Amino acid sequence: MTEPLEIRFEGSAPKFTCRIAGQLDTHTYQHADAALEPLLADPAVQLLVLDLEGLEYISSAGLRTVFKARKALSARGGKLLVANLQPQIRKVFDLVKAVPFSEIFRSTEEADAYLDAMQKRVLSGDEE
Amino acid sequence: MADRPPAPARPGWRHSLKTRLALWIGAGAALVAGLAGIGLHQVAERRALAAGEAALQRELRRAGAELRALLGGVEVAARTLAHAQAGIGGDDPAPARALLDAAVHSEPLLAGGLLVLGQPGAMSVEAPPAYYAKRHGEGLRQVRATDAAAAADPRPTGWQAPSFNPLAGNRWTVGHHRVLDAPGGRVRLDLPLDALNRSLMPFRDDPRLHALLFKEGTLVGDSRWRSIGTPPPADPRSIALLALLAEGPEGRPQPLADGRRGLAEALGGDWRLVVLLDEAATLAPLQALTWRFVGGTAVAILLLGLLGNALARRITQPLVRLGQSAGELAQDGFALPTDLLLRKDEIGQLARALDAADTALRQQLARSQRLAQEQQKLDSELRLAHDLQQSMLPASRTVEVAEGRLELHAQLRPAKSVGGDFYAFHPREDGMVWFAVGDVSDKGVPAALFMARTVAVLEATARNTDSPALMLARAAPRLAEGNEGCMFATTLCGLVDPHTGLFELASSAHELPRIVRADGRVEVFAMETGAPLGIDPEAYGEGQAGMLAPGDCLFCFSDGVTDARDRHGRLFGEERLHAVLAQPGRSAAERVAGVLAAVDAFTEGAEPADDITVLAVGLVAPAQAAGNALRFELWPAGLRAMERTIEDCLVRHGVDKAARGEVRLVLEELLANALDHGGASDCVVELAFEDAAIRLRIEDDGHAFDPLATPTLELDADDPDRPVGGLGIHLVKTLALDAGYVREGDRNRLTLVLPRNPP
Repeated sequence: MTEPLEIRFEGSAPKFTCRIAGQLDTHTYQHADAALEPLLADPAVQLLVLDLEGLEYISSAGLRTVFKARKALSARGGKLLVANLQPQIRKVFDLVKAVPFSEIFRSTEEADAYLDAMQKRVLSGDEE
Repeated sequence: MADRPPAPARPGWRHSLKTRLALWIGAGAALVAGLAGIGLHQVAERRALAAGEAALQRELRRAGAELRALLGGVEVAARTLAHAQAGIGGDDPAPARALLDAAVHSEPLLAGGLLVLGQPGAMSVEAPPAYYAKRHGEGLRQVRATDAAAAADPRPTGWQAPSFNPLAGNRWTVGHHRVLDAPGGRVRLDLPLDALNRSLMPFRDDPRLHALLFKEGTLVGDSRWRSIGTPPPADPRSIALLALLAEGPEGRPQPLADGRRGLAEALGGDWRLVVLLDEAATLAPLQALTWRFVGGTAVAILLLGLLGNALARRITQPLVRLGQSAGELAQDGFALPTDLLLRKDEIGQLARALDAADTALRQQLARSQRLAQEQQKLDSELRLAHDLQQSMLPASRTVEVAEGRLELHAQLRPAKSVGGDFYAFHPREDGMVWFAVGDVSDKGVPAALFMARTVAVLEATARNTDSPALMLARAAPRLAEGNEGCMFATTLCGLVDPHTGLFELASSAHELPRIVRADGRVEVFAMETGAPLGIDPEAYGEGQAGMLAPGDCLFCFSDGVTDARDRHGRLFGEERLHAVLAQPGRSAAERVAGVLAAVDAFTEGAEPADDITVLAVGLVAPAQAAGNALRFELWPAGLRAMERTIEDCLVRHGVDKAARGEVRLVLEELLANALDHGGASDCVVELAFEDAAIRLRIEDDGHAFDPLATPTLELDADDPDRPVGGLGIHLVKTLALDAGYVREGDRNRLTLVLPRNPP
């Protein structure tokens, strides 16, 4: 039986894009955890964009994986963004308020633009 | 009795041994006789010629001596007369006349003598006195000769040519003439021709010989001339012969060109005797003998040929009888004639051999008949076995339940009278339906026996075992036990719930089944398979669960279907099978019939190679199925399989993707929770479809737990460190339109209503 979950990484430290496709549920979340683990353990990684365009189904087990990643990154000042949510996924994310509304993007480009803008702001010292 | 081939025709006379024997004997005898005859003939010819030559020489000597003596005697008498006359002298003729008589008397063969006394006066015109003494009876009579006779003969002393002599009594004579010493006197003694020819008389009796007497070049005597008293006619050939022989060597006969041999002998003076040997006459008796020999030999050969024929008949006649008898070999009433069997010769040996062959043939025939009877018996037993085997196979069956009905339809077509394929199905007491399809290695009777045993063992284990995998696991050691022939059976074993369509399959190396969906899609039901039953007592496959929706069909088959070959050796193959199956809206019976018809059409004219078995399990939904709940059990396939089958079920009930996702999410959260935290092992889900909602009833045997009673979760999206527990229950509570919980006995029962078309 084909593995219903597919994970691919792109990019380099500090910023990675992670494409998750298929079904992220109680049967597959351990694979996702294992795949993300080295990335999260690397302190150089500051930004992670989850591209969920291919994700068809997510359950609370999958949400926990997202939470764990977000927690790991924010612990070192990093950030997790999600992009390209399908409607049914978006609905679940909304129901459990999985991530702040401001960290959900319609596309990875949008997420990148947001990140660039944020970086500029940091560089210009416009920090509050 | 089968028709016998017609008896072989008797050989024609030309090919018969009789004729050949006769011909060969005749030819051999003719050859021997011919060679011997030619040899003998040549020897005899040489001898005959040698004998002829000897006779020639002998006769020549004899006749020569006789003639020489005769002629010599006449010459002596004449000489004596002449000398005596000279002594007498005087004119008185009386003494001279007495001398003449004495001279004629001295040679009794003389015909007479002429004496002419010359006168002293030669000028006298008167003829000198001449006297002729002529034989008269025993004595002589002298007469005065005529003037003509007394006329002077100009020739000197010698023999005269033959002449007709009136003085000697009108006979032909040869005269010896001698001049007397007295002038004008002379004497002539006449020797008659027949006296000379008398010496040639013996030649007349010998046809081989021919004697010729010559005086100077004149032929005087001829042994072949009819008269001995007259001279033979002058023949130029005879004269030429004289010249020819004169040149030849003396003593040996000289061959002549005309097939004769000749030898000449001088007799003194100008006399010459020639004797000829006629080769043709010499060989004439031999020729006659030869013809007699040829004739006699021909008769003898003919007789020999007839004898050979008769002898051969003695051989061929028994052979012909044997041949006629052999045509009826091994037939009723066949018996060789006793006289032939008792013979001590080769015929007898042949007859005894034929007799032995007849016995052997009869035994062979009897054996063949026995074998045929046994074959017939075996065939009828095989027919019985075929019927028995077919009767072991259950007839098509339909199991009616409230949620619909399950149709089971199967067919088995053995390649031989009996086969090694099998199928079985029957409903169990717990409402599940058990079925199995299998294929025993090999074909024919051994396979059929092992098949019967396999079916019996499987049916026994199926009765009290709740998992197909376990059934195979229990059957494996029993079938491996005592299986000396190392036969084995691939088996596909399954349990299907007619209420829900949920099924579990286990396979021991059998062909993977196909699931034909209601819309005609064909799916290979992939699963792990174990080792075939019968070899390894511990080999069996894992169970694999699946779900049949109304209209779906589980299609199981033996490899005889895909391995069926047409006349050109091409395989029927999976593609053709899928093409036949991929038709929507067919019943199980129609699918079975369709596949078999396709295989039959494909293998038209080819020898069936393997048993062919197909079994179709079809789930048919009742018309009012929408209102009734569908029941799914977590056992035996696990959560994932259950989710998939429920998903399939929802698809077929037209539930859209969003609602399916919510049903799945809710079920996963609740069941995972019950399994992971509630210690549940037996979970049952029931689905009921309503117009705008889907009603879920979830039951488990875990610890008592009411998810609806949990406190509402505080959700803070901005807090990365928020607790991750309770999200599932939160989702369930949020998504459900309505929910209710009740604890009944040791089971949690949760009822949820989800929107069919969620916002």
